[in-house]
Amino acid sequence: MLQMNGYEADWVALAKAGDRSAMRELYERTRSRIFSLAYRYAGNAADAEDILQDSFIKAFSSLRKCQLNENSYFATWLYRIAVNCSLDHIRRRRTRESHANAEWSTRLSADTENEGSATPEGEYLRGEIRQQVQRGLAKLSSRKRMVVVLRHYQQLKIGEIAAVMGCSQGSVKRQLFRALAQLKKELPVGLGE
Amino acid sequence: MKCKEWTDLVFDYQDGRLAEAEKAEFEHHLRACPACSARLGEISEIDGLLQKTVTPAPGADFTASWQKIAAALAPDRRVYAPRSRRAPRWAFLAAGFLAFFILGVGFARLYFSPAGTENTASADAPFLYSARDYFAALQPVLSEFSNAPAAGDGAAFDSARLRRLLNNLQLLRLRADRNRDASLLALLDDIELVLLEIAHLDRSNPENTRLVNTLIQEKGITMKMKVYKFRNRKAVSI
Ligand SMILES: [Zn+2]
Repeated sequence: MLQMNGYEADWVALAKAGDRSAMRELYERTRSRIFSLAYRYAGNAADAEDILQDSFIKAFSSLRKCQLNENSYFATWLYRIAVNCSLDHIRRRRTRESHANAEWSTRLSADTENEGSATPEGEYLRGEIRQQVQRGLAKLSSRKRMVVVLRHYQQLKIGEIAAVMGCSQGSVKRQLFRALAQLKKELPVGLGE
Repeated sequence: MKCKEWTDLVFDYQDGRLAEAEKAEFEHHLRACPACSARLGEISEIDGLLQKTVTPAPGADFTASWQKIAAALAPDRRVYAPRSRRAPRWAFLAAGFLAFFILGVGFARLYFSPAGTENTASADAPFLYSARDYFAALQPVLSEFSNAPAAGDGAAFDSARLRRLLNNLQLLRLRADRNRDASLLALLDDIELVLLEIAHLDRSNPENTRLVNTLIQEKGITMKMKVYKFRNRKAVSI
């Protein structure tokens, strides 16, 4: 999932030397994934674009100093930066706005309501559940939400999540388990406890 | 297996990362323990709901974002600056005047060219990965010096194109280095010097143009490119 094609090492080597075209190439190849990560996490496009920009600025300015060897993928490293930027971004926004989570949820609905398609009845039900999912995600702590985003929206494996979040696999599993247990209370799942 | 080991194994189970024996034990426990089996059901159900309600991320203005990123970064450090460890002794022998005068003035200009002069159109063009493609792109630039007085399309003096060729050359060099292709490395060094000289050519003096042609001839660049293409005619890329 986090691998790129065989030319990655070349781009990274060139970008490390300061080559702007190589940076552009790396940006083109990874921007959608980073944007989608930021969007799922932040819940709206404007914040996601900020996070996208912060992430690449941070990545390219520290690329020269960073110790990327052949065993550590550029994409994993970039994801890690994007995760940290996302967490920072929300933390900063929280200090500005008191009801960040409520706002997160309403902004996400506003963004998602724009896309059309589907039958009215099915769409209504799907919309209802989507609202519940959004409310549930909004109530999670930022790290737990990030784990869910990486796992469910970015399809990362436990080991990859641990690598990009900078923690152990055991810690990822515990957070994911708690996040799902918390989500279960918000969602129409099973027969309850 | 005990129920409390469950959280440790369930995600690996979902990822298909359990060894055969572990997997068998996990499934055996599931069949024997209604509580754990119900929990797996719930987790799968939440997974399903999250998947079902995922909507595509909206579009983003990636070009505007790139412009902000590029503006925030330090100016492009020119990677195609000549490397001193391969000092071009031959250049002084072959074209002493040219190398000394043009390179001297030119490198200074190259190093100190202001930020933001990078041609964005050239930055958008794809890199060429094979030496064969690269030589094809290089050929029009070189031919401009072969039939004096030059009657080409001005390819040689398109600074964006030259910059592109110089950047692309670094990519080929990395790959040649990795493949330990010494003859290609030597050829790329020659090409780099010629390109650098072209990039800083004072065109007001037609004599300079002739000197570049002499340089290309003396280094045998056109011939070496042909040999390389012939030698590697079966392999598509380097
Ligand atoms: Zn059990």
